[in-house]
Amino acid sequence: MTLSRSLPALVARVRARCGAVRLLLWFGRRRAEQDVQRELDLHVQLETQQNIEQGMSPAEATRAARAALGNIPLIREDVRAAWRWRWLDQLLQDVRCGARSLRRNSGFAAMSVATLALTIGATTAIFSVVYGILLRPLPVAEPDRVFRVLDIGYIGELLELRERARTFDVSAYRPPDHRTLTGFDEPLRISVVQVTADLLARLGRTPVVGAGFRLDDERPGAAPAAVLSHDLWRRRFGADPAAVGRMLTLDGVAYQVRGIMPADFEFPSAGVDLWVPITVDAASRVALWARTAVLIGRIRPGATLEGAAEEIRALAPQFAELFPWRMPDGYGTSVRLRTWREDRLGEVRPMLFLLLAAVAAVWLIGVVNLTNLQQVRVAARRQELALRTALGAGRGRVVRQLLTESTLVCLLGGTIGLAAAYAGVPALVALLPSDVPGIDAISVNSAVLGFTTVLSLITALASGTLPAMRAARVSEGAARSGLRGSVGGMPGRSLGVFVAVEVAAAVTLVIGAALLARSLAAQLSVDVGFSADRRVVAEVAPSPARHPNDTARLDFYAALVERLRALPFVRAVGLSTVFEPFGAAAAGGSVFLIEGRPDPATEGGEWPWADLRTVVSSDYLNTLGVSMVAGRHFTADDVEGAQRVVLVSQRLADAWWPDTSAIGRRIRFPGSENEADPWRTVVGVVSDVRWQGPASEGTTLYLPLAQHVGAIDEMSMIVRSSADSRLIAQSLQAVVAALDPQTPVSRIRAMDDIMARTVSRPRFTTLLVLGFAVLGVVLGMVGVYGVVAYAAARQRRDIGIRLALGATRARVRARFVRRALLFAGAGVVIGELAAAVLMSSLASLLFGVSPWDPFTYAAAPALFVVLAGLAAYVPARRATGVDPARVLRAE
Amino acid sequence: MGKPTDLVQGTLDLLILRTIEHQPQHGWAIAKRIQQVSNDVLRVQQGSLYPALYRLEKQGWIAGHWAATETGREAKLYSLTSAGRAHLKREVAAWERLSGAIDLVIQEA
Repeated sequence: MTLSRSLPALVARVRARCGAVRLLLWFGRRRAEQDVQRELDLHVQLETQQNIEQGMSPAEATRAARAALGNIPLIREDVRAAWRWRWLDQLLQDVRCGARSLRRNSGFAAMSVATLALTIGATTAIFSVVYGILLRPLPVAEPDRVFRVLDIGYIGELLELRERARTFDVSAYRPPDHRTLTGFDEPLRISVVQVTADLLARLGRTPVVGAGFRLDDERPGAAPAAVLSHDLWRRRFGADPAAVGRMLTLDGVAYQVRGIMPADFEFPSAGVDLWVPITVDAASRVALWARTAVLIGRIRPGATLEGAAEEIRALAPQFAELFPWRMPDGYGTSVRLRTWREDRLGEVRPMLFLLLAAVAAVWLIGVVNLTNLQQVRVAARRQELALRTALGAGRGRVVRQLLTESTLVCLLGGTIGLAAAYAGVPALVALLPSDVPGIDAISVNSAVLGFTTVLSLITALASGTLPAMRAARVSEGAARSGLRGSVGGMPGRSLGVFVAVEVAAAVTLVIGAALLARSLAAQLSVDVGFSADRRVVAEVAPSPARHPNDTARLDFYAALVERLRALPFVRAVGLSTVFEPFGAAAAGGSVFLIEGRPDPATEGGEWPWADLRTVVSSDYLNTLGVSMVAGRHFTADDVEGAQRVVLVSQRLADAWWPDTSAIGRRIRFPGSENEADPWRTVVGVVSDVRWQGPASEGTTLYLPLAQHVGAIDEMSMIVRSSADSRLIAQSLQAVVAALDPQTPVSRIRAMDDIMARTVSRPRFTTLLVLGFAVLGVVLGMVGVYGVVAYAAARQRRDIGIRLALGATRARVRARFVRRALLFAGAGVVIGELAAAVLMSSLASLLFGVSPWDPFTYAAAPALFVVLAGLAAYVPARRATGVDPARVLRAE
Repeated sequence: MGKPTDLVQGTLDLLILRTIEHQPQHGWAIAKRIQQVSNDVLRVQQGSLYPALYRLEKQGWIAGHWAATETGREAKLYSLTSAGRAHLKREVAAWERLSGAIDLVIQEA
């Protein structure tokens, strides 16, 4: 067996380590030993001299002196004990002895080590994920002093706050957008973030090469500048430091490279390739007060987050008057600040917390199982322990011996668990949704190693202390009164506690897993309103050089659609400004005005609001399979110059025209007062699409591409076809390249993959927690079995007497099962309470199922009554299968 | 004179501290002194003396240092530290209370 082979190696390792300590102490110790010897020599000399003076012969005198002093090596041993050198020797002795004893009981050792490897392995793996994501330093200096402002965010406000804020300094960025980088072999679509020139410094980060932005880079008319991500620098410039100072062409505009950021710098999220300065034109009121930005602040020394929030809440309402239009009442009064850490990690924290809780429950079950195993072993070894006690081992010594043994087992199990975690973490990371921040930092590193070591030792203490203390008591008792009689110690109450704890932890796990699984099922079965099957999405941005205006772009899009539709395997092609289903939050919503109703801008009242406003080609909704509820789709006749039209989603129609049909109603957007014909007629109502993800329902306004409002310099195209997505991808690239080689096609993905990714986080959590629940139930039931089996073995005599006195086997058996069920019942109640508390605090992880879902809470006890009953019945049956006469005679 | 009495457990510490209260002594002399002063009633098991000395040293109640004796031999002399002095006081008080109580019980009986 590998176990017995690895034990001597372990002993050798422990010995080597002790050797190192010894070496350190060796010189001091040798001197001290010499001192003792000198002292004892002197004693013998003086005693001998006295004996000679009293008339003995020299030889006799020496012998008598030695006899009076006693056993010199023993004295030296006792002296050493006083120095506490001895614990090292004793530790080695204990380790040697423990290893021997474990080798003899390889069944026990294998069982313990397997339990430990499972629980410690699982805990270590989850800890390395949590450590990588939550505890790893963020790429921002002092992330708890950096905050994001929620609820307001315009460039105008940025300037005001820069001027007036006393407790913090403020910077800003705009959410990532995509631009085309040309000048290399092929055009590349990259992710660009506009930042204020002081933002990088505000975050406490500087470029690794280059000087970065200058403050006047924000001014209108400043030469365009850019700072590269480490990744883009590597990919496009081969990490050449001479890249700084060179020019880059972005959407046809030349930018000078000012610096390269460090590899770990991800801002505001992973995947950003380039940062460019925001242009702040203080002369244009509209540029100031219509352009949104995310405000990022850093608390000044001495100030607090709360103080900054108060200051900003005092200042922000004053900004309402600076806007060129009327802002809603109470604007700026509810501003909140969120630290950068919270902003980055707030969303994944519940998931990680849940995983930690689940793995802690598994660990707890493991500890209880180990405790019971130790208990059983102590009982089996009471003869040996009694012998040790009789030979003079103190109670502390027995406890220490047993604790050393459980530490050995735990370190061994921990080592195997660590190896398992080391092998398993990459798989776990692969399973982890790729949008989780910090995913690259997950590994089994020195912090994880330290954690596992400490966890193993804690496990050893937690599972070993109780049995060791009991053993000491038992062995004292046995040494005094002989080995007959009951094993004693262990009252039934703590056996019951064991059963209750195991069941409680397993119930918590099962309820959590069941709720998550039901939530995942609900998420998967939700009707998102479109069909993803055999559809491919990609983004296309006509090159600005060849397509300088919207007319040119519209022509490009029309030609693209026509060429794609000519392909034999393409069924339908649609274009829209929603770049990704479920990524629509970034596309943005819109307020609008309804003809014949008060204008909120001048008369106050609630603004009609659509969660998403998107421009689509006439075939888009058909291509996605969105069905018509009333009215008509866009057609080829809905062009500029014809009647302006709009489609609304059913929920939007119900919200704003609850009593009548929306068809034929007219709406317009704010700022269109001066247009010749600002009104758009609702010509159709389409079924709802959950653009923002399966969990959120929203309202949508669709505008025809040919009558577009807003930017169409980049569109998302969707192709429905009978061919496989790789062929579609190739065709897309070929068709676009044939139209214009300077136009990039980017992010080509099958919609099925996108759909799968939206549930990847819940799927990950659910899978893991389900795995832990299965592990927990198996370990828990093995534990209940073990506890009952131990109780039954202890009461063999008792059972024998009962049977001899005429009790039926069924009754004796029922007694065991009843007791186990009683405690299991207590465990179920505790487990359900724990699950209710845990899951309601993590309700954000659940979708379509209540954290107190009655069915789940009712089903779990039923399951556990059956399982625990079975786990108790089997050992009880075995124990009562004995022949009473033999049992009694054996005693 | 009967057989010398073995020391009551725990009293050896007290006797050692008392013996070196006024003058530093080495191990053998401490053993002899206890025997002498008690008129040979108490006999220190020489084997248990040294571990006791080292224990007391570790506890900081006595301090040992090597010095030449009158006879010119190098010996480790033990003297009482101030902590040891305080401890001795407490121990003596406790002992007196105990033996007083035992006396009372014996006389009353």
